[in-house]
Amino acid sequence: MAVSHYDPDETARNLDPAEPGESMKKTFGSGMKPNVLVYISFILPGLLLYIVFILIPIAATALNSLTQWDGVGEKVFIGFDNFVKLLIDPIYAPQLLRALKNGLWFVALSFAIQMPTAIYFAYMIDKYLKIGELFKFIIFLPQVLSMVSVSVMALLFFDPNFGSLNNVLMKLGLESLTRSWLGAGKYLRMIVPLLLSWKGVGIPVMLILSNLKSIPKEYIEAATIDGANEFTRFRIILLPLLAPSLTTSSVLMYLGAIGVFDIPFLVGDKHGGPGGVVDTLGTLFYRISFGSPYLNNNIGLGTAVAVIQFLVMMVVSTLIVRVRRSKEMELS
Amino acid sequence: MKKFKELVLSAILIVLAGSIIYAGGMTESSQSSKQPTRNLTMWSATTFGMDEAYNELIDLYTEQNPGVAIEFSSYPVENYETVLKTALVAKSGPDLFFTHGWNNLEVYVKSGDAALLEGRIDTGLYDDASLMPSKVGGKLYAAPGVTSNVLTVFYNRELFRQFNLSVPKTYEEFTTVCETLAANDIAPIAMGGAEVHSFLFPLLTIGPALIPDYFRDVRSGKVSTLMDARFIDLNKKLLEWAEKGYYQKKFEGTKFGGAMILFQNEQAGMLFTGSWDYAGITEPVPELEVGAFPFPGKTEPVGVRTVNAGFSANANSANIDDAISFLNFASSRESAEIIIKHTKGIPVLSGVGGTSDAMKEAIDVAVWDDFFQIAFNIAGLNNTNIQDVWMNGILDVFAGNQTFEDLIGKMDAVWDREIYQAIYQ
Repeated sequence: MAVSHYDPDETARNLDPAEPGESMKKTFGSGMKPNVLVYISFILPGLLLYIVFILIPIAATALNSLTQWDGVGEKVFIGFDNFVKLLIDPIYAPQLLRALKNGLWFVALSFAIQMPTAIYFAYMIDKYLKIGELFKFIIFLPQVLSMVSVSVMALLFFDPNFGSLNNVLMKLGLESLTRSWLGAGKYLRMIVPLLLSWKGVGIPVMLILSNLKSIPKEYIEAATIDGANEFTRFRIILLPLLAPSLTTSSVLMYLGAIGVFDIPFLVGDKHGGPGGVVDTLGTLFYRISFGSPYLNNNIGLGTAVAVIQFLVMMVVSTLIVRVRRSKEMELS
Repeated sequence: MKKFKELVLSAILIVLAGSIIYAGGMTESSQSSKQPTRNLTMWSATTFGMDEAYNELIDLYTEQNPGVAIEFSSYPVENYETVLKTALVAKSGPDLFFTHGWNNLEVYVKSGDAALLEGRIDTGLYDDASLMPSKVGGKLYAAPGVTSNVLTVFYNRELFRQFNLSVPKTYEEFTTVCETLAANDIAPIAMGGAEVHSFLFPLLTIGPALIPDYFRDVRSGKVSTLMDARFIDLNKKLLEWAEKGYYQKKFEGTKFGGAMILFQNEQAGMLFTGSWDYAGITEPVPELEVGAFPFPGKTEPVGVRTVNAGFSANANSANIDDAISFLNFASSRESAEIIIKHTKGIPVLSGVGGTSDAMKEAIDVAVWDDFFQIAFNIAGLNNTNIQDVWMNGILDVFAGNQTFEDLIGKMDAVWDREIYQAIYQ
């Protein structure tokens, strides 16, 4: 019987571009260095799509933010006047500040709800594997619903006159507990992050679960032998090793909360609900850029809001990644 | 053998593809002799009955003009402007498009998209007031509008009969109606307090009735401030009605659609909105007995109305002559009859029938004002719109975060008096 010959050195040479083996030479050319044109041909389609659909629109938006434009007429270059207006104008500056504060509130609350929930669910699914598959499906189900569907469901649930919540409370004789859920700021500013968390928890659960599965069981077994209880094992061993998935989840939660538009727009309205409690950078952008059918729109000023939102999202998410990565390096 | 099979399969695929393309080409070429030579597109914001009205008009027009085909499309009101502007910027806009006239039309005139129609449309049937929304700088850029929009108070006739109420002729009678309904656990006014325009409509409805002198003074230039006690007190009425329980419970969380449902379910006696909502209120519940009344003023009821502009022609249209020809057709008395028949609106032209009893009640008024004028719906200083300032702040007032004095002070600070007086004086 023929035995295939495995030469680990040959394999290593094939994988090392500085010392290509025969098969590498055949694939990438006879020179010592691989053919750069081949690399470019692989990444070019994706790169072109990225440039056309991501980079060019971002650049166009940034340029529009330097103009006064109603969306159809002539664009008039005004430099940074739109940004100055957003920062100091007595009409717009308070709206921008309010949108930023609301965004940070949504981030904080989403994080406080989603992170421990996701860790708990992932841990329990990993622990009770047989029924875990069913729970994975249930937890991930909201993720596949569109934001619009979630918002409409929320409207039907929380409507003060026809909504399920108030109707159930009244049927149970608890009319005193019925509220104008969407009309009172103190409730509405809790409902939006709650909806965001309910819808968004699926992906962090999946990320943390896959991270959990990658942790060698020997670590847990060793800790058990040393007398550590479940909580101690989780806190000292598992939690630090979940750092990569926690970092990614943190960034996703932050971006999802600070960039939210659909839910506040549909559940509140484009003015941010009572007292503007759910006014976000997204609804502010929409309101300024597209306003109402009867009023003039200011696309230039609106895109300045979009640029500010982009910077807020990019800078803070980069900071989160850098801080978390340095912690991961310490642990490793 | 394998290569032979591949060759045969490739040949079959090529023949199939070729025959499909050929058949398609045959279909197209065989139909081409029957297709009209000139195609027009026509866009509008969706309003009740508009699709049916204009499709009937288009059928009539194309019967008389067989060389023309017109495709009508409507879009939700919230998205229409965005869709239209995007298409116009991309030079793929429709040949005919709807605007709301006034400053909304002006945007398209300034961008060069709305064609000048002065002298090209027969406006002999229309008076100067009804042509104003279609004009910019005194020149016609849109066809005359054939429907009048009226702000009114819809009321439930059955509930009024049940509690021996009659249509109020004074403000005191109106408060009596509200008190009576509230005492019988019927919400006097269905209020969609979660949406801003639910407050805007009552404000514009009661304004000309309760403080006609203020608006006269502003238009004449005698008063040039919004920080007038009359205007502030008018706004405070909205809050006063809430405190007196004239709105349904938990109105702050109700959307306008929810308020409309409350009215349709006879859980509320009155609803402040415009004539454009009449069909939307009555069609789903035909058994609902709905009347409408203009708000009672100090001495007499005062109606609030405006006329939308008709359609505009795209200045860059390849078929501009056909577009203008259709606009002439759509401005005729016959076309107005068809439009009113489907939209159940209020006709601009006298003698055009089809108006409902409720709308006849709503327009049974001797004194009128225009709601675009009283809404201060024009650009303020630094491209800020005054009505926009009000709409952004009204929910803050109801949330207790600012007073009406604060809000109106902000409006006053950006009010461009020169523009207002140039337009309305």
